[in-house]
Amino acid sequence: MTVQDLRDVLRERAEGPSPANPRRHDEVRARIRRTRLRRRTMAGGAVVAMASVVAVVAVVALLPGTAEEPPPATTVTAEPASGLPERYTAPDGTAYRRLATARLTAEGAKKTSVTIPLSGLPLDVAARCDGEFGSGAPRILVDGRHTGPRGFAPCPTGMDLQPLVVPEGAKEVTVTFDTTTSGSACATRTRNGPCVPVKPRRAGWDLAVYEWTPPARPVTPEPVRALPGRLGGKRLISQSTGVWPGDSTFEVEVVGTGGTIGIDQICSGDLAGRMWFRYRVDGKESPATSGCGVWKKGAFPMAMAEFTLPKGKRVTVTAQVGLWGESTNRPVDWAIGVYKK
Amino acid sequence: MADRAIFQYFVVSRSDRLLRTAYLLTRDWGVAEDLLQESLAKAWFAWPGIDEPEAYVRKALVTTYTSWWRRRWRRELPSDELPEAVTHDPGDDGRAELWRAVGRLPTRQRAVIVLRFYEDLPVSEVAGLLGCQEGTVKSQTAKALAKLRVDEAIVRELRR
Repeated sequence: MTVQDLRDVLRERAEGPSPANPRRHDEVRARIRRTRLRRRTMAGGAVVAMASVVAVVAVVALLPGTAEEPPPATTVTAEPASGLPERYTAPDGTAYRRLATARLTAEGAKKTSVTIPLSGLPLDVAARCDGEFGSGAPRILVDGRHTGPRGFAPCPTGMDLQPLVVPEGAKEVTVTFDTTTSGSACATRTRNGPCVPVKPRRAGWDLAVYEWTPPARPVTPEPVRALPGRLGGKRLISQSTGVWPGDSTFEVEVVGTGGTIGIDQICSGDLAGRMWFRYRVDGKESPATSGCGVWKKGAFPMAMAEFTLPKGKRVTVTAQVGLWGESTNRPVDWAIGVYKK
Repeated sequence: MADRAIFQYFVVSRSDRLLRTAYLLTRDWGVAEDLLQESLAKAWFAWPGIDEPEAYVRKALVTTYTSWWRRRWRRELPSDELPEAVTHDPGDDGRAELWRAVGRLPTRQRAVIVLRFYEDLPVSEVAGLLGCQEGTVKSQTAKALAKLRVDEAIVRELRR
């Protein structure tokens, strides 16, 4: 075989008759509308989403005949998590030490708990998933309550670290990893088609609780990249940068054009993914809390929150910036951009 | 910068070639259409800032394709290993086997092969599309050609 044979084979296959699609442009536009809607929803951040999910699940669970009987709480003895190291050094040099491990298998118990004594050092929980992307991830409960930002990503590749927020002054906590689902869901594939029950996908999870020792001195994060001059059809009209925890507010005045303004944010530093941003526009608090994208290469991780402003009205946009968990000597660089048509 | 008013014209006039590239990557016309539409939708959001729409959509096509497979949203079926020796079918002169072998290549190697030998893009441009070094494109090309049992002399030539 020669390279020419390879070229011929590729051409033969590709240049054959392709299925015509006269509706392609309409279908792309429909896809754009769905993406825009999803981005607006997603920009709300995890907190509101999680609250809604919990609320929906709670409501559904009360409906007769739809709720799955929650299995009894099972406390599983901690076992070695093979995929998670005993000691781990973060890219910024922070040393992590494993305190406890647990495992949830795809076929076994849906819930497992570990009890750990607290030394006062910051804590993280880690997970490594063995399954398909999109499989249900465990929720993280501290003494039976949600205290942190969200659970793990739905079966991520590699180790996922999340902050573990514990009650102030506590000497010991029980951390529960819970994949239990209540309620039911179905999806329709065609407009008037039947609603087919969606079966939750389960995966195996290696889980661990780590404590980390803050670096002796603040670790300067790599500066965030310059925000794009144009984004989502809007141009950048104002921007501000800061370093958490020193800088935690942002304020700008904008004159409305009758359309929407967009606000997006990026962060850098090992704890960048733990940042949250709450916006107040024209005196009204946004119902959503936004997370922060990390932009090292490739396309800008756009998750623009949009706000409609009355034409000609001068309004004040303020942002409150924060971080889930602790960040001693692990600052985060952030940048906020306001975009307008 | 591209004007949004020409987006529809672009979709109508330029989609066919991009769909064929998508087909070579995915080997299924339905998935290729899905991949193309996803890439066009991504391009629409960035449209006002794009200088070369076709190059942008091609890049979106390749990165979306590799990310789909990396995230395992669409799992490929496992396939058998290549036979030790290529068997020649007198009917198609081994081309059907070559096509099957292209289908067994890992995602990025398949992307490199399609971009270099169907799109005829230079190494530097392929590296730009895949977001990697030129040396990586060369090594991925060499590995892919070796798996495809393509003439070793030409593999050496391509390394230069």
